[in-house]
Amino acid sequence: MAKTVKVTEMVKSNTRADLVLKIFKYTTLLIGAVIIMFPFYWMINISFLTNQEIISAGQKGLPMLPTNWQWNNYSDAWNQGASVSGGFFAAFKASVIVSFGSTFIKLFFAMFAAYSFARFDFKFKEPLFTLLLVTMMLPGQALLAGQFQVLVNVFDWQNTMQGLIMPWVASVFTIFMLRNAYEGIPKSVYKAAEVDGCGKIKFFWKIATPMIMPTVITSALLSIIGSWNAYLWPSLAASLPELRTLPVWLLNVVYDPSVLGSQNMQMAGATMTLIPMILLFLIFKRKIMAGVSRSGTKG
Amino acid sequence: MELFNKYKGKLAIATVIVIYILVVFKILKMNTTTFIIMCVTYFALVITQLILAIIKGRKKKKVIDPTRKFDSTIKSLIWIIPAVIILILFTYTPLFVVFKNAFNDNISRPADGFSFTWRHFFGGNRPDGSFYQGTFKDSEFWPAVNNSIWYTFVSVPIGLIFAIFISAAITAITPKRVRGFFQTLFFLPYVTSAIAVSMAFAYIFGTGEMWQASILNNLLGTFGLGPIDWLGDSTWSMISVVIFGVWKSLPFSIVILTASMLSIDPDQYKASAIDGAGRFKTLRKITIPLLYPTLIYLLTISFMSAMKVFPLALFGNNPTNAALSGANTIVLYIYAATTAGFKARAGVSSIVLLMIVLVMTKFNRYLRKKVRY
Repeated sequence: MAKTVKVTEMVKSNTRADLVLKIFKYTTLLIGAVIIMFPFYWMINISFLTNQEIISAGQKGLPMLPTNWQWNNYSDAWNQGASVSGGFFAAFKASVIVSFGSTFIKLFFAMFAAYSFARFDFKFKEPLFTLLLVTMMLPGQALLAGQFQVLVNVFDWQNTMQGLIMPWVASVFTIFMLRNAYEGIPKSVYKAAEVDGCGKIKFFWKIATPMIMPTVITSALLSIIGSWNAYLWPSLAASLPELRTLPVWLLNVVYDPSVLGSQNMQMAGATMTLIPMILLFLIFKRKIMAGVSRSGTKG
Repeated sequence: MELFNKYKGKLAIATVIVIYILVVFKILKMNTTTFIIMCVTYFALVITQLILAIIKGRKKKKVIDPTRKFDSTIKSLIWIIPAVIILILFTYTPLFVVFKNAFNDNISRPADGFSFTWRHFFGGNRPDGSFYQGTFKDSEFWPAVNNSIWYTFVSVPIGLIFAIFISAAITAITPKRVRGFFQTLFFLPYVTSAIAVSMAFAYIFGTGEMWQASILNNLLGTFGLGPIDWLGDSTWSMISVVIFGVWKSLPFSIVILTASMLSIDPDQYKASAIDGAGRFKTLRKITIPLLYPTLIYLLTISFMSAMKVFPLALFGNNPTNAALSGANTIVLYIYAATTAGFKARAGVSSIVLLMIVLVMTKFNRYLRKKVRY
């Protein structure tokens, strides 16, 4: 009897309303996908056009597809600023050092702090933690001017690699995420280790940290993406050509809206700067998306 | 010895504070007045925290467990201190420096001395008689603030509505592969550099002398709509920024909304179907109420990140250009002031940004508490 009810329900629900809903669903997705992908398409399209096509676009507009694929736009973009600093590759190297270096140092310090907040029960723990959490409300851009002044007056680190790296290291968000992960380790694990004669540091390093490795990797990926794409701080802190990260190189060396004929080369440079992060994303797709959604639902 | 054991924890904290004070004294080359003001700032921060904690504690009537054993304060703090020192250097001290710059009259004599003034806010005569135009009287400041706020209130609702539709559509897809494909696709803007993409957007809108033949204007032209100078015309420039901002912020909202929509228990839908609720009623009575906490969280985060809008690359890497097209924002204003070396101006505008964001956060907190199911 129950089965027949189910079948009739299914038959009923497969009516016109369902079809309309399905059409609506896929149209929404299709329109959304087109809007999301269009800038990428246009970027790649321009990057393959010839100079002539761009200069003569004044009246008609640019062609929708390149007829004569200009691969040498990419080699031109690769060599932009090469005479001073080394072009794309030098910027890529600086970006890698800044984002990976800052992520490693940040995680190292954050792991210790997070473990202490999660595992130990000491006086002033709550007020100290609230004092840290308050900084998460501050917009980083409001501190920009102060950070720049601290960098110049206190450390004299303008135009140095550590000046690019160190401000990224201060991250309460990472401490917060890792603390939650450490708190998720059951107490029985700790007690079992204690019975076996495992010290605090050994437990932290050999048992607790491997257990929360997924969270560590996720926050590392989010931090790498964040510092890789940042423009404000790298452009302020370093003006030396060797210390340009990719976005700074792109905007300060390659991009010049007044030169009409070089749009194709600029877009080739932009495409090249996007590729590393898109590759990273495609490799660690699940981890990154899970990390972003988890940071949201717990917040 | 017993006395030492009793006050060990307090001693440790006092030592840390003294070391920090000495370090700051040394590196900031401060004089006494500055130092006192700094101490007052920090104490005010700590005391507000304490008062808040006490009020909360009274409300909750926290029961203190008499058997609760504390770990050693020193040993626990040793794990934390490296991270805290970095935070002090790159978060708390910059905050202090921003405030100092905004209120300090001795800008010409660097690092030395402090005398309080409101001049950087409202303008007035300097001690040497020359006139200083306050930031609030600057002709570019209020348009920048207005633009940022306008942008926030326009782009956040539009972005959320788009995100709700798209994530509802994504959640409704049953084949997991197809759903994963769309999730990946809609996430792409999150990982791509805003600078690179906004360069592409600048060419989509049309820059310089070429704006009439840009792809967007050509597209509008096929519908018979006139060409629009998207980035040059002051009525349209902020709308272009909104278009770019919505595009860039969609993935974050979509990921979070999809996750929370997928986590709704299917039994609740079954129950409502058995009770005879239609599709629309189910959406209104079950899906949306269950999504409220997520939506309000998203609203908070989107408001905060929308206030930080920074459309530099759309306007040819030139803050002046953005200001001329009527698309100056408060972060652009801070950036321009910092690069030009106007410390006081940067400080004042940073404080304004800080205040706006704090008020928005508090308001959203209030909302979150109100709408709790």
